[in-house]
Amino acid sequence: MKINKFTYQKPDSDGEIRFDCSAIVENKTDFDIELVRTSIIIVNGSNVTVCGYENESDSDFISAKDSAEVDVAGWLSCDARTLNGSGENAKAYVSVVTYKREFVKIGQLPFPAKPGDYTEINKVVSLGGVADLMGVSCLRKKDEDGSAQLEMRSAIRNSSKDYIARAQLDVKLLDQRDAEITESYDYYSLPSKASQVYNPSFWDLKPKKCVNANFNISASVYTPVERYTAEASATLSED
Amino acid sequence: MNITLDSSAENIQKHLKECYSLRCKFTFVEKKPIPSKNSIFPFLINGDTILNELSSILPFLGLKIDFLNSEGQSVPMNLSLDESKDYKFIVDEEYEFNQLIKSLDAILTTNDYSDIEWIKRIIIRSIEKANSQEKLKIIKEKIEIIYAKNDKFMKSDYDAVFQFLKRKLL
Repeated sequence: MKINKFTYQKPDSDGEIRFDCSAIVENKTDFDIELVRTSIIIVNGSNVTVCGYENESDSDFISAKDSAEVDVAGWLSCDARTLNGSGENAKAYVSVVTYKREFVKIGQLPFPAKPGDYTEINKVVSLGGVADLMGVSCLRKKDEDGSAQLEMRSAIRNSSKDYIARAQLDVKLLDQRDAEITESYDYYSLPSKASQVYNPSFWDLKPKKCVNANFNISASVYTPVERYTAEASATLSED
Repeated sequence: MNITLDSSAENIQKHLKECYSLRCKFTFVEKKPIPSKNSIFPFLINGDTILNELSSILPFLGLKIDFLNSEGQSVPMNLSLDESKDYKFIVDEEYEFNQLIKSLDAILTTNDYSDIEWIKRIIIRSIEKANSQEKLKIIKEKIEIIYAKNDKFMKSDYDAVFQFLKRKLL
């Protein structure tokens, strides 16, 4: 990894100094990278932290053996007083972790036909051999204000020794003609052996639209591939 | 919509979905103290609001936000709400080629000898992925620029990548 840009601007009218930082990452592995987690710590001339930022992005796809530029600083700024008025002595500690994705189609779950009905996916599904999805349950409660009320639950267990940066559950509700009615996406990080319950939520579900509807359920886990660290000193932005 | 200190995550979520087709995931975090000279709230969001900007004020409400498109993929934070409306993240040959060229632009003036091998790898990957004469022309220009601007990129490096390019041009 190489930090190709770490710049600061002069303090703005609020006395804030803005930073920009990006890095180039080479994916030397045979895996495609589908999630990148970046973090930056900015320290002043005394090596004391004054600000920082961390981000997780799945829109930084890096093919096997390719290189790509990733944004590290986002919308990062800090009070000029913590930097003795200028960003010239600021230093950045940057770390980047790349992750590959395992995507699994879990299956279809019928929309409960009437209040009180219950449907489930009754199986444990392995997610790339590193985690298990422990079935999906869906209870239709009493309708409220003309909308169906659902209580949907699922859980993912990290069965591996690795940290899973993101374990994601995607639920799409399709009507009887397969047109999408609504969807829910939810994700959490899962330390080794940890588990997490997912409660996909939906609002304004009109019962008539949901006759013979089905949920399409899929899940993804992102496991670490490579870790990079680098440091850089700030330069004044030319912008 | 005006975001105030009383705005709820649910209201913001509904507004972003209805007006900009944006999904979001909220995480509750410790509330950031409001600056004594409160010039932040009410915070008006409209189509020109940059996601980064919106994300940076939500910690004052004790919220962290991730923006997702209709496929559940992250939306780049440098987009405005209007731009993010129909954002689709498509990975195709074009995307991969552009990523490589962007990386090349970012690294071409490096002063580090060890990066020269990396530059050569990026050039060779881009040549492999170039599927038109125009793209090969772009790479040719980049090679010329690197050779002219970077004194650590030797004639032997230039010849090595140029040979590779010539084979593809034939």
